[in-house]
Amino acid sequence: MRFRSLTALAVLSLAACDGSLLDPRGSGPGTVDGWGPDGPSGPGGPTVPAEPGRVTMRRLNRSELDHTVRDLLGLEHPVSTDFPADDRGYGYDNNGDVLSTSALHVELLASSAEEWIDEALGTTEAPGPGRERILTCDAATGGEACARTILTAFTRRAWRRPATEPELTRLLGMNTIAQMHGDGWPEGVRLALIATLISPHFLYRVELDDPAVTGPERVSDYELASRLSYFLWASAPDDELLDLAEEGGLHDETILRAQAERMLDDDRARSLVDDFAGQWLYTRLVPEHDADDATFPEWTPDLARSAQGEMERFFAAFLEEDRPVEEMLTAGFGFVDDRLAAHYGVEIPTDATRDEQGFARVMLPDTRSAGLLSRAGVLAVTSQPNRTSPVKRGVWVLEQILCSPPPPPPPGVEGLEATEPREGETLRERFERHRSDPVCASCHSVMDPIGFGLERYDAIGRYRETDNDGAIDDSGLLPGFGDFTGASELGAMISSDPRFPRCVTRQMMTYALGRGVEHRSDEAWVDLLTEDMLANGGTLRALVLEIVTSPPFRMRGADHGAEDE
Amino acid sequence: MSAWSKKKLGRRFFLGGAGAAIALPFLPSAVRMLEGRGTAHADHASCETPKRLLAWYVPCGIHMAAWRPTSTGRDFALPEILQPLEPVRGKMNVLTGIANMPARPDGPGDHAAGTGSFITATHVVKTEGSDIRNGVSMDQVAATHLGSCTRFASLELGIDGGGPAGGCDSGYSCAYARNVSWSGPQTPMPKMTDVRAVFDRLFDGFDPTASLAEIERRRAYRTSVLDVALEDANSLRPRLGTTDQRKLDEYLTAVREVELRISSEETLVCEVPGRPAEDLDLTARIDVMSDLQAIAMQCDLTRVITFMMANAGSNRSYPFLGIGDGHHSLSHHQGNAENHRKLTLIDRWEMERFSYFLQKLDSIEEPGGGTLLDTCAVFLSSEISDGDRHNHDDMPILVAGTAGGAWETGRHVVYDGRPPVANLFTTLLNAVGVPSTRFGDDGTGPLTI
Repeated sequence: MRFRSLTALAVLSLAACDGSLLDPRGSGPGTVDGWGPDGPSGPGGPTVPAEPGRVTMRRLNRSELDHTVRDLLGLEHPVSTDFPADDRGYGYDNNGDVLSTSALHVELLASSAEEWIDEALGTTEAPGPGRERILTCDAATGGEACARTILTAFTRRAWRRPATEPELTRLLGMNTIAQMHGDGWPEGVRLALIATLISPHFLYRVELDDPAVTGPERVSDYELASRLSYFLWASAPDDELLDLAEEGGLHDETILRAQAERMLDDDRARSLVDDFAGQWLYTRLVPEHDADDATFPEWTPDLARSAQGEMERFFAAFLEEDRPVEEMLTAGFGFVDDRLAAHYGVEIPTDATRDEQGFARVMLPDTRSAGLLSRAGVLAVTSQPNRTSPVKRGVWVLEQILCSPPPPPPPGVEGLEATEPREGETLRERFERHRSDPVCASCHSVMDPIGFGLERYDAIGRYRETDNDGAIDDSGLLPGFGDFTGASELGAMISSDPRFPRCVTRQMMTYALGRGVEHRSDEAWVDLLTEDMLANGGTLRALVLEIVTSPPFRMRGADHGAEDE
Repeated sequence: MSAWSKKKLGRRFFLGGAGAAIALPFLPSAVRMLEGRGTAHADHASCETPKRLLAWYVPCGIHMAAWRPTSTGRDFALPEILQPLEPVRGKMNVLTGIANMPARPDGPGDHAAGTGSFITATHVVKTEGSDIRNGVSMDQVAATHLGSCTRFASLELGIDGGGPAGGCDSGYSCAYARNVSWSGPQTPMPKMTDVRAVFDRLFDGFDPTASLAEIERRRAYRTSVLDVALEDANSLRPRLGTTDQRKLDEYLTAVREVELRISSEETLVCEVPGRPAEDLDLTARIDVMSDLQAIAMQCDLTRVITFMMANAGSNRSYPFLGIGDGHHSLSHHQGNAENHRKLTLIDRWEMERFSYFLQKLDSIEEPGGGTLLDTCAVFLSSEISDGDRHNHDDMPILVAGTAGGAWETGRHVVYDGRPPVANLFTTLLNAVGVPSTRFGDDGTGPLTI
């Protein structure tokens, strides 16, 4: 097992400090323990500087704010709906570089923090959901000693680390302000709780450099607890993680793996479905898909939610059942409720078990057995409002599934799609008519032939045999791989394409680290982690475990100042 | 108005207590109760006569053939797209021949780059990562000067928050595609897109029934919790690396601005209209955003507003106009007459919305005479000109209002030699009392309207 210990990290730090390049697969001094030639992935591989990269301090995004407030205060409803949409970097909205903070954010946080605390505490007569846990003593009678007890416990959970004595003193000082206005300790505590949530230590995931170390270093145990919890839960560490951090044991690989396994089995890992897969696979876009009412009256908000529900359950099944990721594009099982079953033209067996939302797990017909490639949600969000878009479908496969983005179009020629169809002409024929321009063909010859293979699904994902009364030709070409016909062959081809598992790793690393896979060592880490995932069953769980134990996840590189910008 | 509900007030109302809810239409500005404003801003001579600056953004360019008037000067015929503006044509100018060349992207990405440069007239850096870079936008330059006159230095509003997944435009950050307002090279000003959230923000904390002691106590508490946050941030800052410090500086700036706002809060009491209804259709949402912009200025809560009718390269369909195609997809019209017809319908509907807004402004009388519209300079344009060509050298531009009589209106002005829109921004800034001699990348001085 790799990373049996991280004792060699100190050596790594020293080595990196003098600028020497390290071979992550080499052995001997200066390597991360376990990355030797006898490791699971075997010899070979590029020589790279064994640096872990450095993430920019991250503001909690809306999802993280919702989950953190839920776990901290017991408020079950989303709390961030009034906050502005978060920007994405490299496809994910937890990217520290692009999460900016405006006066609007702080203004909303300040007024919201007051509401959250008041709602969580409630009153003696009508206690809120967080009262019992937060107000562990009576500040009215207990005074400063009680206030200190309350705030010590609360800041540890809200700031994901123990507060320092000066920080506690500052918060206790709120009582002076309260007294000046005729209020007592309970109001002082209330104000201190509010101040805790407006503090940068709540709003940001702060990671500090050890002034004694100039090279890459391990993140602290508390920082590692937060890295774990925001990766797997999009929320704050729970008490078990904080206790482990306090004991200083979280970097122990056995403990780290056990914790990751525990967290994956927890309901809070749902955030991997909503936030990671939601952005990776575009699941989040399904309810927002703007199908044209006149062309597709069948595409209702309810059907959109069903199509999204299927994608979410499908992804969750891979997470929960340890299925190899390669089956994502070949699997024939699916989750349908009555609405989606009708859309697909399948029957739900009467004895099928249904979940709370009415979804049953079923085997779908051959026309739907190309996993995600054959499901309504993906097919709809990669369509135009009133017709399919081979371009968008091709781009989705290239960018999201293979991480091989097509060359960008030359300026001014993006409008090839908008030409009126001729009678009896399929969309494919229309597109091919317009690809005769060699300038356009340079990109479209990469994108379109993938999308053509999915032409048997209309713009809301219904199966069809004809398009505009013309017979559908669903032969296609996966660039760099070969010819295929239809979704099933495309799915089989992608699942044997080495770019696919590597892309899964790249996508999850981007999300797990909260930064682009852009550091000079990152491509090598992607290669290594992909090999490890495949050597361990090729599952999402294996990938999660490889990521959380890898140096990029457990360490941070040195601050290079302005040259990093 | 059906879009407004009188029944329910926002939860924040109950924190501050609520003013009396009244139905729209708005009361004339004369009912504004000025309490403390005179003393708080006595040293601000420029606050006395309000002048306002607004910028409206519409997506995917304009079908210029149905926009550009065929004659110049005063008595031009309104082309098809501009016809909805007939009721206010005497209070606006159509400006053609103006360029925004810094908006040209590096390679593809005209929509995001053009939106980023919309009112910065600054070439933006093509990136999805940490090195985003733009200029300061016209509205934020104005906010720096006019912001202290009002509770909100500026408002940033829109309709679309932005898709929750996927890229934005050919390698350009979503920050460019979603935000026209930039307070610094790396600091986009995120916009609010929910009409009820905007309403709650505008009218949060106004409490005509609270005693002075109560107001003072509330203010002291709110300021104190922010003081603690500032102290936390200040003691954290020296321990951070360079990049993290820059992130924390955004926070520090924001906290100080909110503190300033709280310290001037509740000196102005404004009549509060009913809270907007939920589940409005697109047209109603835009019109309610117009109402909110009008009342925000009528109550002098802000003098600077940007509004985005959609985000860069919007592919929204318009079924209520009989158009099932996505707007962006259609805007690549290929010279096709049917596509031109549909684009004209969409553009015309956008001008109906703008006309509603201008008429709303023009229906509100100012205490000193004239209407609210007369005190404004409203700029409207798009990120590109023609959707097929993606050109930036002949932008569709309207300027409504006169910022208190700074120019003649009711005209179509044609400019030769493609003057930079940056120069128009200098003119608009000067008109609202903000010094500016050169703006953006290619500004050289004011442009005569």
